[in-house]
Amino acid sequence: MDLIGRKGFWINVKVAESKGWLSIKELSASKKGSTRALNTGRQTKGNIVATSAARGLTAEDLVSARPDFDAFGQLTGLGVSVGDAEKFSRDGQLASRELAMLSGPTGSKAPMKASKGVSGTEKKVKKAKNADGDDDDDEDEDEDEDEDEEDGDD
Amino acid sequence: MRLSNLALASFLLCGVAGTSVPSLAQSLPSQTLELGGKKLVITRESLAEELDLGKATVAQILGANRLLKDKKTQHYVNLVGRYIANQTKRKDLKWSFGVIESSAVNAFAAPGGYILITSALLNELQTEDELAAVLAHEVAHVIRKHHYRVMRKQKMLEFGAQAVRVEGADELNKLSNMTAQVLARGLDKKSEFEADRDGMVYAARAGYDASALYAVLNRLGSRHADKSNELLNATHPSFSDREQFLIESTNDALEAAAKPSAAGPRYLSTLK
Repeated sequence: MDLIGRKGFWINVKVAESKGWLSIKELSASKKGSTRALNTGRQTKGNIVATSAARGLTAEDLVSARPDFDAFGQLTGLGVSVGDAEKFSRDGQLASRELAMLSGPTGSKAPMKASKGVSGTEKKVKKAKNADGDDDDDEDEDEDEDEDEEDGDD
Repeated sequence: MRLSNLALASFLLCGVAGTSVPSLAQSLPSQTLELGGKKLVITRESLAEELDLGKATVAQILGANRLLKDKKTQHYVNLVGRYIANQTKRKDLKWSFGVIESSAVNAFAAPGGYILITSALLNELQTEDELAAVLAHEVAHVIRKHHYRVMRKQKMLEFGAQAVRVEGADELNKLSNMTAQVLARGLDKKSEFEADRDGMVYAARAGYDASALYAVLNRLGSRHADKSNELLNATHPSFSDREQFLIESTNDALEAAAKPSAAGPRYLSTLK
């Protein structure tokens, strides 16, 4: 099985002469294949941001550095307003969504969540359509809002 | 001896400042305990202290790697970051984002809403969705006060009775050095997974691709470990564990939001 592309949490696979889409979640759970390097497009380090002789940053570099409080002042001067950011989002045609925070186990061995109300095959077909760009307004109403409990107010 | 003091202090801090005894925390702004001959001042969490620790943290990082002198890039990263922060409950903070010149692939969150990302990590990204995903992870650390809570405990241990407010050049330098040690040790895995999970939601709320963080982790995980990602690897769970956790955390709504945003290509067109 060859992995030939990715869209969202779906990957395009090729087996012999057949192509199709598989959920990364299901592929990962089945242990049938590595999802490593699913990215398409540029794979090598680019030079988007030019720097002159940039230094590294190891733990030793960090701990042994002399703090630069003047530079902190420069950083705070870079901040932008809420309004500027909102305008920026409109310019980029970004549409905000109402999404609840996720709850559940935090760890690499978190259990897989079972599908509800839709058979595995139906869900796969439905999701495959989504991966190709179809709209889907479904939202999981069972997620708990745990942000308030965890982060506290000032 | 020091370790046992730390463990005992952490226990006491949980017991006194935690939610189990809110009346004590509300009625007593601070309390001094004698611990192994050392004074330990236990205070309530405060925004002023959070900002102080954030300033000390940022100053230390910028002492090692300076800010990139590229106004357009800095402004662009601030717009993306601020828009992500607008999706959280702490939009009142004066969020500042900065790109630092560094060959190390990394990003840092400092208490109070200060976020730094290295130029090397920017060079690994391909779209605005991916930049938003990385910044959202760091924003999530601030929202949950992950670093703040570790640093304030360490500050109480090291500064004892002076812990309420650290002043004076030598003491500020010492405080900055303490924050660097916390950054160098890293957070626990649970905190990193939480930041991945929360960040994915913040980015998706903003209209970005919910799967962008997965894509970044997948790409970085395919790289050979070397000096450029040494600190990142040492302070975070493995990329494969983080990818697995993200996949297992998604729900139908997030899967539906896993599509490239219209703003994605703006990354390369703005920074090139």
